[in-house]
Amino acid sequence: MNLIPASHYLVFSLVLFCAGLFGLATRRKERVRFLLSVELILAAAAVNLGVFSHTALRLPEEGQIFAFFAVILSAALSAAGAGALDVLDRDGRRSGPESL
Amino acid sequence: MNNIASLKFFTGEMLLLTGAFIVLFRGPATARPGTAKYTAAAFALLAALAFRHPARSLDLFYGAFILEPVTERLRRAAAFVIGAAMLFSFRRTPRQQEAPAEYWSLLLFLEFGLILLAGARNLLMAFLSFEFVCLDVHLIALCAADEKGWKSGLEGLLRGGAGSAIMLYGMSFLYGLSGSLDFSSMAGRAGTGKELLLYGIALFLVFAGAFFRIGAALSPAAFSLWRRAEKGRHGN
Repeated sequence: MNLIPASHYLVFSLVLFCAGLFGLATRRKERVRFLLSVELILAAAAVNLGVFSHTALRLPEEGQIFAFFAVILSAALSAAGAGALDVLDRDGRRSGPESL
Repeated sequence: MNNIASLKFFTGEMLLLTGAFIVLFRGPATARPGTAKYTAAAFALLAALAFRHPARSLDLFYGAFILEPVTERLRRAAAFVIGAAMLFSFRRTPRQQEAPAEYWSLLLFLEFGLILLAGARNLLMAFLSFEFVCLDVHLIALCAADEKGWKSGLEGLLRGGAGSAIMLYGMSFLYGLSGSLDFSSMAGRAGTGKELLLYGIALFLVFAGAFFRIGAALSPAAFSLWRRAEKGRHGN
């Protein structure tokens, strides 16, 4: 079976991170895009942790558990962010999907 | 040391958690408004008295938490700071009158989080306790904020998420470079040349994200204070 080299995963995670960082830097006013950018960076970190768990000196599960917590944080942030968007939208400022 | 044996040295922290949950769930139901704050203060005092300091350094919870002289001092400092915050908070602000029980339980949770952060021995514990502390600080700051500060605090919640994500990305590189989540293993594999540069970049991301997160957590209180100062200056 041909395994995908670790460097490919790292490049993929770097692309995700750069896309997220670009979104954070350029779309600060649009909250949905801002939230999506944060999710991209969290996904990049989770990919990194998954890849590095294969090269860990001891206990490779540590990295996978850490990645699991990153996914939990990502889900919690999505839920809290959606709630915050709902409250802030009542103020009359556009931040819903139509702002995309 | 295993989990059950570790609990013997964790009595103070368990009291803090118990007090926080009792105040959180029972506080709003009680008829007398002062009950929550006196209960929280009593549990904080009991916890401070129950902190145990062993003669030698101990690895608790299978090495996730370390109890050593520095941790002990930081634990006392956390207890002192939260105690002082409780004393200062006995004079209520109008916003706190709406949800006093939550505020007092958050103070107890914050003390618990600070102690965890002080004794964290690996990246995972440090990250989780840091998030816990930042969330507590954010919610406490929201309790003290006025309506506009509260809205800026919700914005800060999104901004803080960005800080957490950047910090986590840096931590993932620290884990990849050292091959372990333990701080002691990381210190032993500092590396040279290119590896050192990567360590520097990873640490930069971690600290940049952490400071961004702290700033976002404190934003509602800072915004409210600034608004009050501006109102005072312009006299309306």
